[in-house]
Amino acid sequence: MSGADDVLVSVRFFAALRELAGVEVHTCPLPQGSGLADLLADLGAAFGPALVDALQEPNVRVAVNQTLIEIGSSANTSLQTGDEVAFLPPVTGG
Amino acid sequence: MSTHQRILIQEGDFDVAAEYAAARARTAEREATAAGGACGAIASFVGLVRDQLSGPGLEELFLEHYPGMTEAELARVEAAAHERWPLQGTTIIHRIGDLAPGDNIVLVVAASRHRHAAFEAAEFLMDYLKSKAPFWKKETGVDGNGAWVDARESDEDALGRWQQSS
Repeated sequence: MSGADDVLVSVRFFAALRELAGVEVHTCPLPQGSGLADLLADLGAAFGPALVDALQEPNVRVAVNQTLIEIGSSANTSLQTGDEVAFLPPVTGG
Repeated sequence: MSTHQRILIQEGDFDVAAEYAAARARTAEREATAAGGACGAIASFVGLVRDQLSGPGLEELFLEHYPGMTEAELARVEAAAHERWPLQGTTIIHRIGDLAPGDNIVLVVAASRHRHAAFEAAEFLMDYLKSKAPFWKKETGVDGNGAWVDARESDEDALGRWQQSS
């Protein structure tokens, strides 16, 4: 369900999570005041529970607008239109 | 980011000799402005693609990253090194895309008055970028099977060393 007052959040997946989702970027319309938990519920509806389980693995980190967040403390922070939420598997550069 | 922090993310290879020359040129500029005395040591490190597969061998390594955030994280890593040691310049160049066994992946350069600071800073840059910068490696074997590389606990352990001694 989407309405005229929805916020549009851009979601990015990387590496194994990108392959699991099947897309690199997904745009989510969410009701105003929605937080990360609402976003995950929306992603579950769009991509299925396997992806949501993978996104919630303890070693997956979340960045909002390219800054890492503590999931526990930010789960209720409202997302705004234009926000970019990225799910990052453990990094393996170098 | 100050001019003595150089960061590049690129598909193509890098030229170690050219980067060394560039590091020397930058330290010479800083000497001219009396910003830390003569450079006496430049440490550089190059990481290569190696075969980590237990199976039939590595055909190709693919490197993915998060454009924008990668550069920001690397800038933070370099800034942390500059806070910790009296450095006259640092460089990080990291390759992305398709690489083959034996290819260069990453270059770090640290310039300072003395060798200890240069050596330690180069290792610090590597340890931090491995644990903090959003890069991901996917290995494809000669049998065609691909798999994302698992993060190593030893990389996190390497970070602990710098945190304890700070």
